Amino acid sequence: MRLIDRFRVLLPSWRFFDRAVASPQLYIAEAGGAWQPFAAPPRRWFNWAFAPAANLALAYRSVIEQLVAEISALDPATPDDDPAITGSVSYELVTRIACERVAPGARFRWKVATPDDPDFVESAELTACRSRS
Amino acid sequence: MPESIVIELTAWLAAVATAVAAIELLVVHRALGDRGVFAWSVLRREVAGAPAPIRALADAIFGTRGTLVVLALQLAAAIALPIFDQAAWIALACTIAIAVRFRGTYNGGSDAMLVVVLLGLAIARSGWPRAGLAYIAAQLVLSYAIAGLAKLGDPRWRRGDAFAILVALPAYGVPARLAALLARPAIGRLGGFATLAFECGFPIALANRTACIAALAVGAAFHLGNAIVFGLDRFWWTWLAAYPALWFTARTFL
Repeated sequence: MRLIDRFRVLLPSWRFFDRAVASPQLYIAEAGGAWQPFAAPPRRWFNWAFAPAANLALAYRSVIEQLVAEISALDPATPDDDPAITGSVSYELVTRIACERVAPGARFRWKVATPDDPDFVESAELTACRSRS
Repeated sequence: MPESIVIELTAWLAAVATAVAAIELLVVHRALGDRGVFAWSVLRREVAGAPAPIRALADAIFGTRGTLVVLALQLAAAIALPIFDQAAWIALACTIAIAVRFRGTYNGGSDAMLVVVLLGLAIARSGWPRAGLAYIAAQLVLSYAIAGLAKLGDPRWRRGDAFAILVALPAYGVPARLAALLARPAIGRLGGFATLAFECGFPIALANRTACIAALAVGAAFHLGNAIVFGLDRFWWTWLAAYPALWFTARTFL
């Protein structure tokens, strides 16, 4: 991400929901387990006015979309374990998002599915952080 | 409605929107810590190529402690907004700083509109009241018109299928029964076409007083609906804060 992109809040695009398509979806699997989708937190009655957890989950979604955008800009032949992918900040952030959903110390993998590719990018097997954030 | 009352009303509404933004992040502050998803130790790698003074400034502001100080300052500025004129500049600086820390925005368009409202309010209270209010009003009209025109490019919006697709997205966590109700073809089409008509037609608010009242009333209902269905609470507070400026500008200049 370029430094200038960090200031895009000053140049709003106002293009909300301009394409009605499924967004990239993060899946997490603990060792030996099935893929589980990363889901938004359950809705609470007051979330129409105050929704810290839901907005944090939306910020996580933005990170996942940013990772997809960055990988899409690479050569399609780039393998999932290429440092151009695994060394990116977005990749590290998605790993941390997945880590939050896994029991401390457990082995896990994550993958991102897009509407066109159910295995768009998949991590190696990782060990979850010792304690959740 | 006199200009001073419009500015005061804008300040109160902006205070709520700014306070909600700050408190929501303070509630989830662990996500900003060293073990959190948005740890500065990770994010700072993206400014590694910046000059040393900028890196040092970024470390000071965007580290865990620095970010909590910025959020506390943003909340204090929000509380002071209705009382102190200069608080708008402080709230604006804090809002921009938080967006920059989160790689451009934390909550998408709501951050951008909050910046618009706070900047317009700051300008209005710095000796150019009509310019500040006109800026907010212009961005408000653009926000709807551009969003509506952009949707017209997607055949799913034109066919009336978009609403059903959006309520089914897991990202928004729409409760299952509500999603099923809104995904019914007739309701989905009605919701989709109503959204298009409202957004594309919003500039009519500039036509006369009645049209302005109608557009703002529909707009308030639209954002409240979005807050209830999609959980987009900040859009509700932030866009509401821009409404008095449009009311004043439409009546003054047009």
